[in-house]
Amino acid sequence: MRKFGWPWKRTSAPAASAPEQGLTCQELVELVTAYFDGALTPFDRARFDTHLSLCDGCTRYLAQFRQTIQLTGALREDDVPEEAKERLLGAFRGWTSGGDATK
Amino acid sequence: MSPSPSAQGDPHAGEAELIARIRQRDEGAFAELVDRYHLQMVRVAQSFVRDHETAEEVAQETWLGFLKGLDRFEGRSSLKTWLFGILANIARTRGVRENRSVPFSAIQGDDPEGPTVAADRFFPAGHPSAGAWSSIPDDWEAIPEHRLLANETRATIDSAIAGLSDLQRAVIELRDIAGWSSEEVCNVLSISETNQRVLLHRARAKVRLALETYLRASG
Ligand SMILES: [Zn+2]
Repeated sequence: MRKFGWPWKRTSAPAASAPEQGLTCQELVELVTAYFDGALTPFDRARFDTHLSLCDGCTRYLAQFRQTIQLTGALREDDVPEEAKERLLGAFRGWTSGGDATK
Repeated sequence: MSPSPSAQGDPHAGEAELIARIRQRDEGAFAELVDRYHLQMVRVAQSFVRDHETAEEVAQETWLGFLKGLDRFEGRSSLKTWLFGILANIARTRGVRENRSVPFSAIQGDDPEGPTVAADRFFPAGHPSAGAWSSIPDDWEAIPEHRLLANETRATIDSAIAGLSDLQRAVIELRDIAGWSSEEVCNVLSISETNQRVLLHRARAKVRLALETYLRASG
């Protein structure tokens, strides 16, 4: 049987024992993308979920990370610069008038 | 911004029709495809060739390859897969990418760039709560939406992304802005699943940190 030690608590001051098998907050923050991608082993995922259910700090961190992803996703892609686009449309016109239209 | 039909539902919706129109020499259809993919292509190329001008050339060359090969395209793979396959080939022959794969696992903590959250945010080793937050992260849920969507917030994210390594930037832009799957990103960038995840995590963590700094300073 594994024993988990949880030094973080929802409200009270930190408990005195060091974690043995549990994740620390410092370890958890490095696993967030793997967690979101479903890439953790079942064991690590369980440790992650358990920690999260007990830790306000990591719950907040996860929420920040999620918001970061959402805000990044809301960035609009830039427009293709005119110059590059003109050059490409020029190439297209060359293609339509060239000998490539054989099929 | 013109709303693209691909924005909802199937991201490949309408591509067969676009290709049919391009085959009929419809310039507007070609322009639409350029709008959809050109910047992503430059970014992907940039992760291989370093300087922006060469990346732009690689993308241009890819479009020429696309037009030349158009009559042979049978639609078995998605247009995107095909297009970026051409791009990756050209970029690789022009590429100067050193071994920039990431031979470490952040999970094992031997990432040469160090942790993604500063060590001083946690109680140090030897402390009874070693590894636990020494100061709890801010609650962003409490921040009004208009602040999060403000131009300054966007500019903060933009400049954080601009400051990433080429490969980190390519990964976060393809995954989180262009909405690619991790598999697609691994294929086109020729990186492993683990590398992709480490690059993405590091990129996101840097953007998060930039946002935190900005939101605290402006709060
Ligand atoms: Zn925690």
